Amino acid sequence: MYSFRVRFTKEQRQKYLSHLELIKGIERAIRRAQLEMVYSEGFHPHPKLSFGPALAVGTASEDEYFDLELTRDYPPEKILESINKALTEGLNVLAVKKILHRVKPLNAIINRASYVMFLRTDPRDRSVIIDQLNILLTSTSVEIIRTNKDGQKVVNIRPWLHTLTIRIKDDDLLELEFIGEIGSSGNLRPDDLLRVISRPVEVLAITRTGLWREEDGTVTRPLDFCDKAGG
Amino acid sequence: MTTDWAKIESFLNRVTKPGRYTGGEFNSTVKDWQNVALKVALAFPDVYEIGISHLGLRILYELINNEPEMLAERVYAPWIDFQELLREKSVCLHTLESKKALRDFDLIGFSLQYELSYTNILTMLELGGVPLYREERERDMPLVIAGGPCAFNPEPMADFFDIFVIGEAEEILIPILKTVQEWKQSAAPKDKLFNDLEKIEGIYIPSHFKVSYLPDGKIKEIRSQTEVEPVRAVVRRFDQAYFPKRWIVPFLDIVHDRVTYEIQRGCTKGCRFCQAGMIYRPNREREPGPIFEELRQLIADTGYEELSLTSLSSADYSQIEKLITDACGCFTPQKVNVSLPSLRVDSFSVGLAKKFQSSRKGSLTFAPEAGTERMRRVINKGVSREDLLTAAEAAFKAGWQKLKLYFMIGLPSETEEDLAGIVELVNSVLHTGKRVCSRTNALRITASVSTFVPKAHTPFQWRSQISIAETVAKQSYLQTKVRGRFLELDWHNPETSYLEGIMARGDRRLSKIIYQAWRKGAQFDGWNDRFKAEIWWETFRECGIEPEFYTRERSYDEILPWSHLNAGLTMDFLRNENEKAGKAEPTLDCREHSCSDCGVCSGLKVARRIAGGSGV
Repeated sequence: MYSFRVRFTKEQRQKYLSHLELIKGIERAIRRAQLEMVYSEGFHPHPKLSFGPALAVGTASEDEYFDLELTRDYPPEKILESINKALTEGLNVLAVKKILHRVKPLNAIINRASYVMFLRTDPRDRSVIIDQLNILLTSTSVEIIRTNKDGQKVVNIRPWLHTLTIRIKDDDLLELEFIGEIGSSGNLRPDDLLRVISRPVEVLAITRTGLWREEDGTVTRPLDFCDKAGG
Repeated sequence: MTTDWAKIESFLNRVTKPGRYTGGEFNSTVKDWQNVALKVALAFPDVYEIGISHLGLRILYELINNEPEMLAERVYAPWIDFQELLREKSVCLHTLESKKALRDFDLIGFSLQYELSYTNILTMLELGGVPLYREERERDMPLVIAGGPCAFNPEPMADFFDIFVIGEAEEILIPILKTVQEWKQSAAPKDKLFNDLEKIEGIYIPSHFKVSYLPDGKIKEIRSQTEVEPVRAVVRRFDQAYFPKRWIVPFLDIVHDRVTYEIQRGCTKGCRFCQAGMIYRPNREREPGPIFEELRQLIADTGYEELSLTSLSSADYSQIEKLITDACGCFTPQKVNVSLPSLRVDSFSVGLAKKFQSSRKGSLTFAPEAGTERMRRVINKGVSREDLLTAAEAAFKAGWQKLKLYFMIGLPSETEEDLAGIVELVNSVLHTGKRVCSRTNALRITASVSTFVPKAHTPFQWRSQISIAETVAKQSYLQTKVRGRFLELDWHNPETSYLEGIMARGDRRLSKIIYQAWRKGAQFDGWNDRFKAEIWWETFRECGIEPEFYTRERSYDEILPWSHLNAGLTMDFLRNENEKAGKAEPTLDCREHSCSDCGVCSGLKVARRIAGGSGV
């Protein structure tokens, strides 16, 4: 069997797909592309297809990944072309690379994610909001309350925020660009930043702009692992 | 209200499953709005996951989009959260393709699949910017049209619709739309259009009929103003009928998430309670060769991992064995599951199921429908206790451990003995399972019990429906008796079935009830967690209409609300079947025995058709 790593985008209306809906959609697109996938054994065979970190519903992305096992050694450009033909608008494969060595799963290697978020605010609140966001950078600890189905949890998001740039795009429009921790070492969600803001804001759009691994100051992109031993 | 996609996008993040409203599925068709002469919105009055699963609308969608001059787009009932945001932001309900408001279409076609979706139709029209009542709609507003099984008695919804299509729409749809298109280009009034449409088989123009009532509420007269009798439309060469080629593949986890291929239409088993078995006669089979070829194409084009060979009774398709064998041979290696939607109660069916469920065994479903031999003869369900136990034994031996049995309560002439019969039958199946299965730990017998609702154009259309209190009593009896480690009991909400029964045999006076109940917040009535029974009963009280009036027994000389609609079945046949039910006499399937003289073949000039053969 032959493994490939696929880089793709999830934009426009397809950003509203949940992670499971996306997986199912990509799986069917690969079947439509007539690429023969490798299936797991057992009563309920699943194609060997594994995705990187899930995106929240409504968040677009310019840099998503999945790994794929095929029964034949198709040329990567043929895989790219045939999957793109079978995909609907909003989902687009950017690159396919053959995995030459045993690699760790995407979720084990990726530990950084960058985002761009547009916020609409009352122009009168702008300076307060910018101050509150700046505190994120100057403090050593920023605790927020996260609510999930198991209840509420206090988490310190400060160690997970690596950079934050705030730009005033218009009187009522702010652009936040930031890099956060993602994966087992910590998980900064774009929504977390909003928790420190006390004034009303409307989130117009969130886009994930990048996923990579950063270790000891070295940046490695998911596709770079494909031909790198020990990745 | 406007439809502005950017505005919708600003709140899509706040609703559950935004993918319900975005469109963009593989194989959906988006045409150039400016360059077509006739625009049709195909509307399903329930959520996306249910509506997109419906085969009928898929067929109509493609038929219309195959016409260069026309376009068809889809719209489903928006969930409560989305409705609230549409209202709050003053945005119109839009179609998935061009994101246009419903009021921008020439025609809005609703699918009437079940009575409890009626209130959702009003929600969709209102949010779509379309006046609800036919009388309020001007010439330049959309025509509102409906088809589907409920169109065989659409009287409760008559005031809201311009046109109903009774029967199978695929062959008359384009002629209807061409007539509308010509009329749109003329200056003629709506009346001219209605007169022209009425010449097409299957068309029912409700405004052409005036209904008057007696003091006791019964119908005095249904008077036609044009002397045209609405007659059910039928596809005479079903083996050549169009089947979708660009099968839409949704991203969402929908109800029937597979390719469903209709291998035949119509069932002549003759179950007396079954409306589908009456209104889709006669039985017409497609040819296995073309079915197989089209399935290969559909699976390749969609990437689907499951297909279902669907019909009212697929095990009765004459070449089912060959079709399943071929399909499994071709598709199983491609990791595509093959399935049948329902099984007959016999070991032949279990044999079929064995073919397509070779490794992992889910549950098998059988529908004995009633608990005693007598009751099954009353409803003409030709299944014996022995048939069921033999089928169950075959299923257990083949490795199934979960069986589901469908029953009905409240059938005509039902006694305590018939209820006890259900309990006895369930226990006998369990006993068989314990005897046959090597490991009994996973044994599970589920009895799923629904309440019988008499439907129009069936032999039981005159029969009474049991009251809510009687339903509750019968259900409690079963709840105390069907108990134990391996047994499970499902039942339907008694009030939901009662409302369904009222609507199923209702008349035009119910329009105001539906409207008022909807105004008070009734919607998604088929959803147990959304159904607000009290709203309905309160509305009936306020309008001075007794719900029991509609569920009572009717006499043969009473004018039924649907008596002006010709479904092809003769009154003699229906009456005779009802009489035979009283005597527990069977009527045999005309496919294997002599003609039962239902009137459909001669009346509608159609013939039954077996694959490989010609019409009979």
